[in-house]
Amino acid sequence: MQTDKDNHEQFTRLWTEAQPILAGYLYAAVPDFQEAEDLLQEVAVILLRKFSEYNREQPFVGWAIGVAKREVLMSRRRHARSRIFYQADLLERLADTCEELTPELEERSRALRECVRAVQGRAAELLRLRYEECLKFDAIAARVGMAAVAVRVMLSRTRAALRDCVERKVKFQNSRS
Amino acid sequence: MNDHQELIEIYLDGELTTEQEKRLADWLTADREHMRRFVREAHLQRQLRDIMLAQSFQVKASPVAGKVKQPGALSLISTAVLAFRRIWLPLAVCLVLVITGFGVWYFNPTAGKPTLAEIQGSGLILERAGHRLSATVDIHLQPGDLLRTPENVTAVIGYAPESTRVKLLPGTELTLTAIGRGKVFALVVGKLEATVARQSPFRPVIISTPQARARVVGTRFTLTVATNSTRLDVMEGKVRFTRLSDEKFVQVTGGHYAVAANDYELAALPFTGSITRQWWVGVAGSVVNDLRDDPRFPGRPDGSELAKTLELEPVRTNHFAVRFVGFLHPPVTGDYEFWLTGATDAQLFMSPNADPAQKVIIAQNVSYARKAWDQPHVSGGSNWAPPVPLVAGRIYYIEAIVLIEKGEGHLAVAWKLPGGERTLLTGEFLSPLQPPK
Repeated sequence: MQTDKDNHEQFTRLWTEAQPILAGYLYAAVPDFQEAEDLLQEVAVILLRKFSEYNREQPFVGWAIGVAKREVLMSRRRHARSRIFYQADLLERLADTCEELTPELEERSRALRECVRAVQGRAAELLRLRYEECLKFDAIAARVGMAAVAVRVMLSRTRAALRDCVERKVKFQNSRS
Repeated sequence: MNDHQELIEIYLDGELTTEQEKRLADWLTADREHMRRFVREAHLQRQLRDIMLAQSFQVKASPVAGKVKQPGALSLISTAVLAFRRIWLPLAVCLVLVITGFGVWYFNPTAGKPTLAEIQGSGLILERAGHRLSATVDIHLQPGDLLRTPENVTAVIGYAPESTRVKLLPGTELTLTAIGRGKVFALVVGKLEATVARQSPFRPVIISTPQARARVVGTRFTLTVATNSTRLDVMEGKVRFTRLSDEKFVQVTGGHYAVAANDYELAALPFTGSITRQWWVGVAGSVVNDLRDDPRFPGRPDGSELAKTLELEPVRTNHFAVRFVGFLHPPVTGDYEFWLTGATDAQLFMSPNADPAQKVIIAQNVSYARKAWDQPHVSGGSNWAPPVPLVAGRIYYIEAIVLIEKGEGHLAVAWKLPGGERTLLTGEFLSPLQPPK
């Protein structure tokens, strides 16, 4: 018989594994870091509360994404932002795709951590301002003394370079295994 | 970059138009592979956020040395574990509780949400997503909100229940960049006064201006943005002040200010506003050098106070000496001229830096007419100091002394800024020898 302590430990382990995928899913559906992070916290609380309902035979990520999807729909009623994922079928397809790509996304996360180390100088500073401080282009431009359009272009090129680097690393890993 | 990749990036930046939304939705629906590409990009950007936050945390956290278990030391370790359980475990638990308590106190994120707490005057402008809203007291503010205070209007942003308050003075434009993870503002122009309650070190208050960035975890300060400069005045606590042009920073503590501007050295300087004035009575002799023979000079004056200008109004007395001493704060870099008038004998000293030991006499004077700046040169010195090169952002030791042997005496120092007119030297550009407590 499982005790509360066992349940809690199991949940913590499953949540730690699923959290990056959930975070990516929520950010895809709600493209605002802070709103997505607030939702992630709410989802975590709900999952913990409902953990006794979770069928251990099924993948945890799939169950968690199902709960997160309902939270996104609720959030849509509260905050009218982009309407793309108002379409229930598209939101469903997004959830399916996240679940389907889970192993690949985990691999990509590891590759990305290595690739980011190569980004230096101003590009690194722009990444920090955009992703750590969540600043928009205008605010970043004011901070670093560049035009907003130049910030957008430089960030876009840096991301493209990171995408290429991730692709290369993932291909290399796959060719070895 | 192809069109759809650009659409995905614009979407994730939160800047998609309605027409672009439709195109992206159609593209995502058209092919399963499109959705995969979209998910990979969203995941990449979300992971970038985690990586940046982790890096930020690693920079802030101090390294903790790990203990390595030595092979062959099993019995020793077992003994140590047993001893730990018996004696040290309760102590360790207590220590953890203390550390946890401290952690909760120290790292506890402040919970206040921004609202307009006070409005003085009418005409306050609040813009949200390009729309003008009615700015009323108690309205909740959101990230991206822009506040403009016209002339004669002030507004206060409060974060109840915490005591943080940001007051916008007239003629100020401020944007709330973020409110969730730290309080982040952009001060475009104008002046604000802030009282910041203790914040989590990982969620500081950050105020950006066109020239500088101030990072605060708990303090009282004002920040003023002019066309080409930003000035920070800290009343209490400590603020990290970064000049954006080169990312050089300085820690500004209570009672100090710093300026970020071109041709201005970035440094924490004591508040200006006054200069130390000391006096001695019953001084024997008739010239300033006689004061130096007095055993009470310079350490034991008969009185000391703060003066708003470097000027002694005419006074009828005898055997009386007055010394003004403190630091000069040049507002711009360039050549400055100085003039001295005093009766009956006066001297003006300056140092090429803040060190009193390096002072030299730059002007001396015996003039019976008050503020008689343009005197003919007399033997033994001039009351005019030829142009002296000074750097904005540095401070210079300055001292002026007058000895009144008998009758009416006075003292004043004037200066001329680069390209400016001659004016009396006022406290705006002076700080006292010992900052007032």
